[in-house]
Amino acid sequence: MKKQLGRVTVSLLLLAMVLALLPGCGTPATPAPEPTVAPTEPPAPEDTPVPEATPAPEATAAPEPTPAPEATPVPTEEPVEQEPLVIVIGVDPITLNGLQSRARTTGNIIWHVNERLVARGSDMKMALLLAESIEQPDDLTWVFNLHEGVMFSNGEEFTSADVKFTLEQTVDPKWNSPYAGAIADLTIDMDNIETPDDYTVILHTEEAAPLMLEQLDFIGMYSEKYFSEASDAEISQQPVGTGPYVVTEWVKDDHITLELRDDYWGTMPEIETIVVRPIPDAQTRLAELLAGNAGIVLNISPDDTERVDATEGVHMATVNGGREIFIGIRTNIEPFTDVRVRQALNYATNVEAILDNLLGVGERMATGSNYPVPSPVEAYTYDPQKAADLLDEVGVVDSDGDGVREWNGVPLSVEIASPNGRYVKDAEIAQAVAGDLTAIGIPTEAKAYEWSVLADMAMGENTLPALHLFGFGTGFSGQLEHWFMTKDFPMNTTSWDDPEFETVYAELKSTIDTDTRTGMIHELDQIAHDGAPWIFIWKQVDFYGVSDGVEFTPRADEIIPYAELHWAE
Amino acid sequence: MVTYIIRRLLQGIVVLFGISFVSFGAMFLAGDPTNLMINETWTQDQIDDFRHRMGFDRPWPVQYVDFLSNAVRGDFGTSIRTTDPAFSLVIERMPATLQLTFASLLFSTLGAIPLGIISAVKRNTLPDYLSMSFAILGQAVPLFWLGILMIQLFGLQLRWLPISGRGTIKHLIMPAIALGTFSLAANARLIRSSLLEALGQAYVVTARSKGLAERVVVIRHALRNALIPVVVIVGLQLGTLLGGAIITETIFAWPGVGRLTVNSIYNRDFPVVQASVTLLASIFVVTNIGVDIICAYLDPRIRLAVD
Repeated sequence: MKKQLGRVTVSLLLLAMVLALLPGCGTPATPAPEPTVAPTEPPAPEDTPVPEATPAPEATAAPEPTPAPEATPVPTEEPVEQEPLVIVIGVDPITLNGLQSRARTTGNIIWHVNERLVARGSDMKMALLLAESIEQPDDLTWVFNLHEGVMFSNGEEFTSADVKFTLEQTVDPKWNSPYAGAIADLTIDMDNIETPDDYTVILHTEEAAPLMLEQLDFIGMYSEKYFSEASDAEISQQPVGTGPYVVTEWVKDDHITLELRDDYWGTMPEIETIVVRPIPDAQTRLAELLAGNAGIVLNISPDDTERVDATEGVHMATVNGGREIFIGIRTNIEPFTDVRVRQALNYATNVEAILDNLLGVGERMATGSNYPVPSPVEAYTYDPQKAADLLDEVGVVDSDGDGVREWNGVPLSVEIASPNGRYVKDAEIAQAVAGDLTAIGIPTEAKAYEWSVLADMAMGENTLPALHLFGFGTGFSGQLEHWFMTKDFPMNTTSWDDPEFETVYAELKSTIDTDTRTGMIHELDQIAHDGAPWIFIWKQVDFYGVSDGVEFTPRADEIIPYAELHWAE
Repeated sequence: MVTYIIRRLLQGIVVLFGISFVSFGAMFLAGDPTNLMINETWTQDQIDDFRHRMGFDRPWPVQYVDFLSNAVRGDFGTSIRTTDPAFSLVIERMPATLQLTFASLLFSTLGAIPLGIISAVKRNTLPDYLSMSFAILGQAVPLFWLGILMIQLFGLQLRWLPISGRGTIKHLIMPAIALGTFSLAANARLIRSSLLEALGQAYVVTARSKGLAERVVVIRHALRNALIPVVVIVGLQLGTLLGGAIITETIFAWPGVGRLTVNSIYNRDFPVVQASVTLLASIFVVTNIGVDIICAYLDPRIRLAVD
């Protein structure tokens, strides 16, 4: 008995010793940052507005972009240490190598480290950044004049060679870059990128590329020297760029710390330290906000907005985002081949009720375009009678009075496939639409799928059901958004192929003149609306919880501009 | 005993083979894995090139042998999304997961012993009812719900503990309790029944007839034998807790392997998924073997039966 007791005791003791030792092992994690507090030093002077940059209106004239602001010195007062600003996001970036990730999560960090030649401003218009000016001697030539004296955080000067290097890396299969396709679409002659001096880059394109600036908005600039010296792991974890911030610590899935550079070439931001914390659970994110532990919290559930607004010290900030949520209709499956049926589905869907009751905010879409010049096209209105009339006209009728419409004598029923949690209340939206369609005599079942399964159904041979909820975004050019509807779009889930739409889109791709483009984009809006390959739902609203101690205005492109954040007075 | 250990090790190797096959095959469950990994904007040429680079255009037995020979060397390839070695991504998060797992194991084990003893000794009295009610409640409450409740109470209302993240011991308390509550409840019930059985044995009657104090009878005689099955179960619970850590890590933003696995699934980063699943499953298998060996060591009947 004693021997056995000894064995049990030894076993439990060993277990206890392991347990006692374990908390001390592993990567020492930095404790979660303290709550965001009010500023302890006067705010920096307001940034000078960056002038708008648009493609050249005339083939031979220089484009409109005007110089970026000169560097504004920081007031030299007695330095007082600031508390960090904590920004809570949903998921940790996969990588901090911007060449490898298209995710906004990554962009929201690395674009403050790896600046771009041009960047979209808060007004959603393109503006100059590392490029001091842009000239376009003809439709196929782009001359970028770079700022002089811009330094990478490793001490190297940023030159035209780095721009050439970055573009070459973007299409290098090694990085598997999601932007390779975008660069290819610009038809840049990669073998003929000229760098006549350290501060001039000349790009030649095979076709006119009106989306040049739009696409370059995604491409951060990288140091050729750093890439040649650093390992892939270092490149993906310790980015080196020209931006105002450097990543000083990344504890994966816990936090990323960015510190303000004191030798930044441009206007100095006010916030000195930013800590980005990934917290996947929405309720935990909410609790961190309400407890005063965060300055900005992304992706607050619409259901929690009232609770946030009712809590002292925090408030909600929302913005109509650029992501279009729609229910695609497979136009190669009968009876959805008939445009009247597709229009009927749009009339039958009570989007207003979904927006009011389910989502709380938002506006109904006329089309998928985010083009800044408002489209004259009006959205479908909820009109079940009109929907019923259109279906009767096509022959989708309830002949036996059982409440179910038939097509070619067979009762019609459909499925709406949707992801569950990828977009704001995606599965719930699908259920609401299913209810509306059932109400007009088309029994509809909403089914939620794990995202990878749904994506697999869409890729390769399209095996999606006739109706499927997706969300594309976020473009603001009017062109990118309509690309999603073209027949050649790689993830064309609807098989919609409208000759008129394709013709106008092809012309748009090579049209430079802004006014002409605006007319074409609005024409595409109208064709898409009338052709109804989608049930148009909404432009997804982005929900942010914000501490009253922080001045933050959310942007439609889901970017959080660190340099434009301020401590509240 | 040696024969028993060798036999269990050989069985473990067979199981590890099975794990590797399942881990490898999971990638093909939805058809061509290329479709799960590519970007929606890619052209067919890009897709074909990617398929070739990943080796998905080879016969699957060839791919499996390749996978297996690399896996035994800790090489699961590079992450599709980052080009970092997949195994390294898992290993760097393993300490956090093990810390949480063992902390919850400690909580569940040390918490269950007094509960089980009280319940057994005070059988069919109020303390027994309270203990077992707590045990049943602990097993009935979903982990994620308990976690959210604790966050609301201790993190938000009382402000006693940090809500999420990893860093100090304080950060460990709520996740460990949330993860360990189910095991605590199960262990308490097990100790109760095991102790009740021991208390009815002849050697306990003998001890009592010798005039020993009831405390001595229970602690030194009955409990010692009652704890043998607990050691076995606690070892096996390691695997359950490793699996349960995925939910806990998500709720409390704990930077462990579970979150990495879930994110990798969402990102269709299969090398990382394979590395994490294989590693976690291997830990479970090795733990099982260890528990079996300990069990045989503690209980002569097992090794004698084998011999």
